[in-house]
Amino acid sequence: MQARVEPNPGNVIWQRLLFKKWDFWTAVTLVVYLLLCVFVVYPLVTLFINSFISEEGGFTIENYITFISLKYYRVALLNSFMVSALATIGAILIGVPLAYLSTRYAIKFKGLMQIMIVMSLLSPPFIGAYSWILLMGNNGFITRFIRDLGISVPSIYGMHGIVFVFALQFYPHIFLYVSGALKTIDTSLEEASESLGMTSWQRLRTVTLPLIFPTLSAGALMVFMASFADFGTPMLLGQGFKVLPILAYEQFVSEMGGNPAMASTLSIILILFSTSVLFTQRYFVARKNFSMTGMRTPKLIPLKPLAKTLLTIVAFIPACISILPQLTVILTSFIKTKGPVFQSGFSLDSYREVLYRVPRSIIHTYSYSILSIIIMVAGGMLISYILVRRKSKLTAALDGILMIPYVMPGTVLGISLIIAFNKPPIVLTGTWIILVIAYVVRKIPYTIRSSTAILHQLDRSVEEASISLGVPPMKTFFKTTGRLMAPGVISGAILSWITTINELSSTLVLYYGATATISVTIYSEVFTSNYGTGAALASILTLSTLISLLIANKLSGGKGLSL
Amino acid sequence: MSKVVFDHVTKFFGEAKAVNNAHFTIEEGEFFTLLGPSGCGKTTLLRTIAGFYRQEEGNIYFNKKLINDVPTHERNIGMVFQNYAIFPHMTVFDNVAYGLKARKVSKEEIRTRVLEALDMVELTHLKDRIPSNMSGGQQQRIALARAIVIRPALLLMDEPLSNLDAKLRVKMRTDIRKLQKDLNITTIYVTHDQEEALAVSDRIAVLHNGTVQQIAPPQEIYLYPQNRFVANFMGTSNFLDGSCEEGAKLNSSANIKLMGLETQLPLQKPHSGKVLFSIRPERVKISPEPSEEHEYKGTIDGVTFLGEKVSYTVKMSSGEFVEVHDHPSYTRDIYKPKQPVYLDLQLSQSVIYNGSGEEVIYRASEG
Repeated sequence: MQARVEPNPGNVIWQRLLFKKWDFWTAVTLVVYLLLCVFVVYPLVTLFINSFISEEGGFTIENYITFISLKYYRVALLNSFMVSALATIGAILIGVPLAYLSTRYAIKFKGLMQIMIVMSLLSPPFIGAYSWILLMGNNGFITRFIRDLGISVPSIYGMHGIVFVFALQFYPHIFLYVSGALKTIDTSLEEASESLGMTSWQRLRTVTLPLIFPTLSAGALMVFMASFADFGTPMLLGQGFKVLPILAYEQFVSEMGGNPAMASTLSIILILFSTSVLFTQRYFVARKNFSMTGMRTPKLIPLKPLAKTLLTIVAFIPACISILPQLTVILTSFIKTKGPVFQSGFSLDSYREVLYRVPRSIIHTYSYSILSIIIMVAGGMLISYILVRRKSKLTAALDGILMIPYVMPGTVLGISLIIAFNKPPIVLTGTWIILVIAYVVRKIPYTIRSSTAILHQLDRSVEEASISLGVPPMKTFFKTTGRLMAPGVISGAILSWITTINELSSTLVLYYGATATISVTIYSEVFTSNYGTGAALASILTLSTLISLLIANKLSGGKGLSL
Repeated sequence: MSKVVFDHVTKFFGEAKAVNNAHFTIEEGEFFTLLGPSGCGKTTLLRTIAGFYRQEEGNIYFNKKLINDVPTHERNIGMVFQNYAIFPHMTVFDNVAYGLKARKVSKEEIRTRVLEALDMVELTHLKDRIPSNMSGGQQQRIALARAIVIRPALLLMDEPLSNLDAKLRVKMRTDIRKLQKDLNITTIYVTHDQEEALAVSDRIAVLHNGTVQQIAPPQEIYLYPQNRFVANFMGTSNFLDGSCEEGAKLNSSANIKLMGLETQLPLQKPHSGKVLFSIRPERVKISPEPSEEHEYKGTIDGVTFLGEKVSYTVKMSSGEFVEVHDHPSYTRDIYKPKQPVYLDLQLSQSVIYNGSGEEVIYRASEG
């Protein structure tokens, strides 16, 4: 007991390294790092290097010079930016008032409205665009109706149409984020404001809106990123109006004159651009992270019957418009067809056709998605645990790597995976494995996010209590925290699941005849004018989405999904 | 039962020493309290004993066994947490049985021992309920039963009562103390509440900035705080600057000046120059008239009526403020602000430190 080594600083550091416990979680951290390096960092680095390789195989910055010097590319970037910015503004204008209305006033049928709004968010992007063509295209149902009234309307094609579809599809991000913030805001702050003599409008402007600003900007970021990365909608509605993801895709797949190096360059530019948008948002909310105790949450304002009915109708207008495409698709799927031609009357022809011609795509979608979701749940739980409970410099870097899928549009992710895995040491192109990898990388953030959220609420002393009572750490995790995390993990996993079955952009780059899924089949059916089968397949996805949502709702005790 | 030996234990957080060279022994069956303000290192020390943290320097022994590298789940400790840490997905019974199952105790024995433990904390009637909606007091009793049922070598309690309301806190601390004595279990208790520490402990260690300031039984720590920090943290005290004449000798009366008056006290350490008096408010006597004892003149500056006592702030004629606690009386009015009063500071019962407050140079002798 007497003999002691006199400490010196160097010694202390060594001791700390040696005493660092190498346990189950250290192993998990290392495995997670390894997998992320292989499937996220390595493809990104390969993509980056590839963008500097000339046709002869040497180093060049020609691709970047081409990008800057050609108006064709610059305009596409500007288009992408304009479309995303306008769609974000539109989404805010719809989402914020709707969120305020539904969280503060006792309007009717809120549950139904919530489901409709979430459904419209979770439909495959191009289905919205496709339905709007049916409704408001040059010969669309609504276009003809209005034209018959003698008013001339512009068709849905072009930039304004893309913005319109994006705003209607992505405003649910704003709605869900802002509703969440408005529900947990501490009313005593608003009461304090009013007690100091502010009118309710001034109060809204000086207290409520600034308080929800960080959340609103997070929602706006989601809208911007989703619009910026989207591929299907501008593809269908653009008609010559090009955005950056389309150019990247075209450079990559075009059989004639395709230029993988240029595709890589465009991909890198897309990533750089979305990263800077992300950091801009972070910068603006950095010092505005208001923590709400939510001790006294706002009460609903009761309404007189007439006002209630009117406000309910107002609140349902956006929900109804945004769900319209899906209803159109479902309706279309039951219309009698003869080949690609619609006839009058209803039938199940389209479904029969689906089962006859493309049954494999259904099997593919569900088998790949089930496999992906199993990996995502297991991985999401373990990763969120090391992020929350094993905070260190090592896991902080992990947080950074996990941001990469956020800033990579699906097309770009697909391109990077192909470039990385079409040559040794690992060859995966053309296999289903590469699709599962893409799905997991792209969608696991949802599961990680909700798992992390619930872990923050769980007290770590519960686990310490179990360990102190003699249960080893790993067993403790599965007996206590693992079980208590389940509700949060499931709500995130369902979101991962829904977005996986609907995933188009990365699949389109990575699939192969033998691995086609429902979403790419719809895409090709629509492009070959087989609207009936496309609609039938889309309805199958919509139904799966709806059922998954209802299950999520049930499991979360009616609290709805937290995105 | 275990005794716990700290052999020069130091724990770093980054560059800061959260625990600085802890070197003492907790005896078998002792109720030992780690007391200090938040951030003083008391919880860190407790968690180091539990094995949730690993000290960078020094050794910890349970009896003669070095436990530095024994993982928490093999240390055989019972731990009670500030926020109860009840397993929300298990019944009360299963919560208490949890540690016994990990120890592969037979089913019948689990049943007997769990019921026995629940009986001790008076919760037998709730054994099949899910604990989530139970009161804090009930949850903390479950946690206590869960910790003692495994017959741990050591019971660790991390601010177990701080989330309970005041009345319940007093009842619970009495119950905990009784249970600890009945089971004769070595207990290490962390709190920031000095009254709670005084009420339950056999010995108290006062910590400040990671360093142990004093280890002593409750009475000694209150009456003879070893430095200014302890005196200030344990209850309230008036700190008054005085001075000591040059060349005062050991154990002979030294002339000490305080607020313009001189007094003779036998110092236990030779000292000259500035000194610091620590005078408890309840030691000071107050009178409307001057007398031989009531020699310090002042005026009432503030009055706070607290029921069992009245607290006065007196502004002395020399400019200092002195807090005085007096018992309210039926026969005499409470002093009013601005009223002149005379204080008997009972300096022979004060503790006197050197000028920086780090070292005792005088305290009243025991008895």
